[in-house]
Amino acid sequence: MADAPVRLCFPAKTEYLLLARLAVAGVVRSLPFGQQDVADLKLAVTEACANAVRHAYAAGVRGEVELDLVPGPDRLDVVVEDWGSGIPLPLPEPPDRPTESGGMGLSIIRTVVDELEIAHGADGRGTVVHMTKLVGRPCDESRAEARTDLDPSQV
Amino acid sequence: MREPFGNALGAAEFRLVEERPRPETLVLVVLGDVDLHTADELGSRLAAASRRRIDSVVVDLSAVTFVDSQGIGALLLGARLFGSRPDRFRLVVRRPEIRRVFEITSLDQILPLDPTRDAALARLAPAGDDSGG
Repeated sequence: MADAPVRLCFPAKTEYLLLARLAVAGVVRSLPFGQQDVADLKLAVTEACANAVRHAYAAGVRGEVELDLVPGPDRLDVVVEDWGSGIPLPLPEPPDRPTESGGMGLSIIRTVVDELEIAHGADGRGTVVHMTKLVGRPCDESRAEARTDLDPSQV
Repeated sequence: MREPFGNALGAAEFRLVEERPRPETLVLVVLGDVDLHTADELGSRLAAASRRRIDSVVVDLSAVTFVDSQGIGALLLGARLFGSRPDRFRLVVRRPEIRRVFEITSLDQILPLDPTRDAALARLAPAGDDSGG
C-alpha cells in the first residue's frame, strides 16, 4: 500500500526550492522508481516551483507555494499550487525556438513527466500544475517535446 | 548563509571555485545545486570572467548535483560571452543525470560537453589564437 500524501507549504522564495527537491527525494523512497525517474521528478518539481516563485507574486508581495506529493502503487502525482496572479490559459504550444531560459521550464516538464495539466485555482486565482509520473514508463529520449534549438548567440 | 537547509539536510552547498591551469584559461568548478537560487551567481561569475584577460573557460560541472533551466540559461550566457566558440568555452559533464538535462533540451548539440577536464582543456584554442575556431 502506498504511503500517505505529503504536503509542503513554503514561502515563494528561491531558497526553498531545495526543500521541494528534498521532499521529492523522501517520498520516492517508498516507490519503485529508477534513478533517472527520481532525477526527472526533482527536475520537474523544481521547474514548476520555480515558475511559481518567479511569476506568481508581484515584487514585495509575500506569497506561498504548496507542493503536494501523492504516492500511488504505480505512480507519483505532484501538484504545485500558488495563489498569485495566474498565468494566461490556455497555454500556447511550446515555441519552436525559445530565446530565453524562461521558456524552457515547461518544455522540460512536458518531457520528463507522463501527464501534465495546468489550470487556475478553484476560485480562479493562482495556478495549479498537476504532474504525474508513472513507475516503469521512463519518458524516452525523445528530444522532440523539449526541443529548444537555442542558439547561444540569441541568448 | 546561501542554503539554509544545505548543511542541516546533507545537500551539497553551492560553491564556485576558480582555477588557472594556464594564464589565459579559467577553470570554473561548480559544486552543488544550480537552480533559480544560485544560477545568477554562476552567470555573474562568467560575465566577470569575460571582462578579464581570459581567452577561454572550462566550466567543470563534475561536482554539480542538480541543474535546471536557470542553470542552463547561465551556461548559455557564458557561451555567448565567449563568442559561442567551442574552442573558447567548454563544459565538463560527468554525471548522467546532469547530462540528461542537456540532452532533453538538445543543448548537448550546441554547448560543447566533455567527460573530463583534461579532454576539455585539450580542445581549447592555443593562447592568442583568435582565428574564430
